Amino acid sequence: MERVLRIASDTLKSVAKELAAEGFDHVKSLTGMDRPEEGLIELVYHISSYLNPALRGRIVEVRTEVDRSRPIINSISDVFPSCRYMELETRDLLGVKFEGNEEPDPLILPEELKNTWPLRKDYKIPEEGVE
Amino acid sequence: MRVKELGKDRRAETITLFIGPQHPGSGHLRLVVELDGDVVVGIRPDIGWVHRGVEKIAETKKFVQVIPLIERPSIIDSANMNVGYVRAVEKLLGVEVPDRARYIRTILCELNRIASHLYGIGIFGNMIGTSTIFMWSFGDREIIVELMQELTGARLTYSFFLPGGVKGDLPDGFEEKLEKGLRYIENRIPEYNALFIENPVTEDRLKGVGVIDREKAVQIGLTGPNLRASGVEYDARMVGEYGAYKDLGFKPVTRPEGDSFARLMVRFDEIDGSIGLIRKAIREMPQGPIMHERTKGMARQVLMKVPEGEAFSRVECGRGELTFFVVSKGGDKPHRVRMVTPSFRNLIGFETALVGHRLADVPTVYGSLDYFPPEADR
Repeated sequence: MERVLRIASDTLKSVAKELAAEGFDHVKSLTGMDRPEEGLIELVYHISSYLNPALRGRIVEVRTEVDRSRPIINSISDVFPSCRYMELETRDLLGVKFEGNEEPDPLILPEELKNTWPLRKDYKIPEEGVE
Repeated sequence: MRVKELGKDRRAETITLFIGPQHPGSGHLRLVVELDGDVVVGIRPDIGWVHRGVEKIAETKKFVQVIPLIERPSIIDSANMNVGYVRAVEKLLGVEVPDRARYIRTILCELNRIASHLYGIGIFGNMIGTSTIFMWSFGDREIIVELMQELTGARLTYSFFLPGGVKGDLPDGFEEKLEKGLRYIENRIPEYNALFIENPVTEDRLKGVGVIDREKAVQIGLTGPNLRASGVEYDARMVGEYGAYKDLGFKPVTRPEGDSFARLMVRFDEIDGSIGLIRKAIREMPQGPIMHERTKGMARQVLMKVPEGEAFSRVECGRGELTFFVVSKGGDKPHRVRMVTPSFRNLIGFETALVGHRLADVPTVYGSLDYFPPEADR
């Protein structure tokens, strides 16, 4: 990755706006990574451009962290609508709240798994069978 | 989604209609459609019915065991899923794939693209009531499936690409069989044109329906044939990070209209493009090894420890761009595997394309997006 931006979580939206002004037009991937030993959840955005031929081959990696016990961050789906569903998925699987992109119901998990976060490292995969 | 709460705030003059999740077309998806008369005023896709937690399961498997797992979300396009993951692992390992293996990968990926497009076109035909096209394209897809079986030993889930190369070389006599199959598909295309494409019913139902203009397509981050049908010249194969596309001089297919017909036509034209790429790859294929020395042999694959690091890869599947972000902590299992599939990125297209259209256009737009729920849900 030729360009990695490590930023504070409260500057995410302004960074997104700056990237959009530079010609980056869509989010390819949003990854949430649980880091329980540091009490953090790291969010990694991979942002690139469809329209600008000079930027097409490039991907900017934007990395930020939120507190694991209070994982709240601004949604950037108003700047990049392409990451709206990725944010909802990350909310379901890691419990990160994206302010400004709130749907009452889980996107991808069943109702009974609401408020359990399977992609957190301390999630125990339930086993079926004899106790 | 809680059924009893849906439609709670709806205005008296609209009704909420659930389409699915009992397999309305290509898999389990529910569209919650808000209708005013028979005009769609709102649509909300409700997904996750076939969510299997691929990313979580991947954390419990060895690197090589993740290959069959990440193929499952889209078994009809598994070679393209496979190549995305192994490219990320190869970046972590710091190995480059031998040239001959790059060409073999390209051949299998393009065969799989043809099969995936025929599948999508068939489902599309079925959705708009042209069941002949469903029968035709599934029958013709079988030719390609047989070819892929000849090459890999499996019909659908090949696990043929391993970190560092491919499992096997082209079998004896494969080139002749391949050419015969490609010629067959090529000769069928005029028949598809006569029966389906140039059919006034198809044109009436598809043209001008579900238009997504260029700016909107970029803004919502559509991908694959859906993006190119809106006039955006982007295809992950152009970037040339995998396969032999750079050497073969790949050019993407685009259409300016952005409607359901353009999306169908981009798929048709890409079949033609893939046939050309395969022929060129066969002609220009170099001799040499098919696996990197460092990853050769089953023992090295199974006992593989991957150096600490992170790698991002992008490849073009039948339905669009697939990205992997693989994190290793230096062990034999990945720490995190992030997989963003093309159908998941195309999901947002439903809302953009459908509002303002009639209920009868819902299957048209659904089919034209070639949305595949198991791939989106993972």
